[in-house]
Amino acid sequence: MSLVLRGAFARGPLALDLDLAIATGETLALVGPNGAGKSSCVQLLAGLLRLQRGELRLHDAVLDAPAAGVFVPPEARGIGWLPQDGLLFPHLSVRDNVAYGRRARGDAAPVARAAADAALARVGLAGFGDRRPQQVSGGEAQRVALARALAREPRVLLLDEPLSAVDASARVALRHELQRALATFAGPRLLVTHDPLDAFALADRIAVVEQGRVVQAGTAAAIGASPRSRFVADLVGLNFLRGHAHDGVFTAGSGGRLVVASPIEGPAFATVHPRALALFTSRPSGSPRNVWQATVAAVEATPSGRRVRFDGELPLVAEVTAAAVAELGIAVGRSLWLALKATEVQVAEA
Amino acid sequence: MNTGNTVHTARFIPARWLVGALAAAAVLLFALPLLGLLARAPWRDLGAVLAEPAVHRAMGLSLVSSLAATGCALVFGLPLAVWLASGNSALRTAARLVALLPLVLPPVVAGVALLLAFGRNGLLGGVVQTLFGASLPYTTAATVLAAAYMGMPFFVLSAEAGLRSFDRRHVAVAATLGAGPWRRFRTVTVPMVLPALRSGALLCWARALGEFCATQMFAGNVDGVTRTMPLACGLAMEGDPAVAIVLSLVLAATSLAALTLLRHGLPGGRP
Repeated sequence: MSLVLRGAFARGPLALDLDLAIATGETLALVGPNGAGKSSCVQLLAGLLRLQRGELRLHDAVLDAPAAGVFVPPEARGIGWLPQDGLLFPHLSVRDNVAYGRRARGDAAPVARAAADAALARVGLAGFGDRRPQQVSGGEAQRVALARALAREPRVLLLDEPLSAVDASARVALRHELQRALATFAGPRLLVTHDPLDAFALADRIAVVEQGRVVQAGTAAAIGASPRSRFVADLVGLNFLRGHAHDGVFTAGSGGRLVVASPIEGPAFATVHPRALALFTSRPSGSPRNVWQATVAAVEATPSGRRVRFDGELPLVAEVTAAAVAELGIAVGRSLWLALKATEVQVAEA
Repeated sequence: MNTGNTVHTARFIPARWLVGALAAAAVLLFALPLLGLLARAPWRDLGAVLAEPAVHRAMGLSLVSSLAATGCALVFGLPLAVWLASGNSALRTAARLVALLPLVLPPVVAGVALLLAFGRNGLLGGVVQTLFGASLPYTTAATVLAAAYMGMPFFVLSAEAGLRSFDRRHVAVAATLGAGPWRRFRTVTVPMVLPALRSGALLCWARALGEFCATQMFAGNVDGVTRTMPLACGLAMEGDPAVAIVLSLVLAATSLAALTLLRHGLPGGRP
């Protein structure tokens, strides 16, 4: 493990007690409700807040350990931070924004500017150098901020809700850009998000934070299989399929096909909320675009009801009430009809 | 969001003629004195008056002392503003009150108080007098001190407001990009609050330039040493009104230029 945080921090109503580890070359998604302490966690890692107890280590170096009197200030940590709304310096051109870290490191202005232009080209913004931050769109600003964070070659990359301040039309392109940046970045990577789709699409592992604590951590599949709280079930316990979208039909890697209401073409992700799946003992009549038959593989109890897992070409989980399980006679091995509206399938470009 | 240009059918002004008449009276109150200056100015002798050595000395002294007072505001006032903006405490509240008092203090009181602090027998002045045999009153330094005392609060007020209102997360970003505290201050904080610093400095300079009463009380009225333009103007009014009017014209024109700069920015530059 490469970036390890085990420590506590409290301020006002917020009390953090975190245990997190991110390996080199791994992307960890930090998800949780508003006010859970996600942003404070990022600030602790970046050195913008100090731990009150515990320790933060990067590789072999201690960055923050109050008991030992160690605190490495943010400027000496080499931790790249992409804040929620970009926070470009309004008084500098786009090029000088990106060159800022290089200049701070001591690079001569021409060297730093050349590196900035190269970094801008890598995020698809070649030729944007002379613009003012006020002249770029929200999505472009985030890409400039990404280039700025990467240009100084940080050892850790922290992305704090990078997609939340961007309008929907720019989100797909930016998610692509982030995906590429994360894939090519060698060190530990942290992505803070409240969107499960982003967590599924961009992260290797997910840590769920609630009320200042990591309540569950693991791969999306592992967490989705046994969510430990209502929040986790709602946010992370989504069905997640990898596949291909074409002409309004999503084909899962496992072979199953779903009619979707999305114009996306090519490699794609699809998420389905467990409560969007309707279960029937006989073929349902009515309008749902997707109706198929599948066999129950498992039934699990969760704090919010029962999760019914299905086998087959569409390995999905449905969430129903305990009463429904009894009423429909749901049991392992039983064959049931499933119905799903096309509009209940969320699709994103992979 | 700009509703200022929208025509509403519901008028926001009651009794339009009354408001118009009172507003016109107010404009006259401000415009008439300026018109008086312009009407009575000895335009033909303007060159001759401006060429007088005494007028030259007063103008030079005013320029030096007002700029030096503005310099004091930058050197001492900026750190004060930074400290005031860096938190909330009873000590800060008290310090702010003391530092901003000259904004509302009658200048004559400022003069008396300065004399009691820095005068020959003053709190600090007495000590300096016995230790070094030097005294402040009746020196150009006293003129600068009086001007700084009256002008600096404008700078502190504006600078603190600017420092409190800018988004400090930009400084945090700069830190994660590897910039140390001094570099962050120089390359992020100062540029981001520059408009506030600029207008504060301009207000400070304009107030310092016009300083009269405290200067006269504390620094005296010595030709070539402490007699700034306002003092020369006041003196001339009793013997040579033409000189007083010319000096007033110069001061008024400078003030107007400063105000224009403050409201509309440098010509060609961004506001």
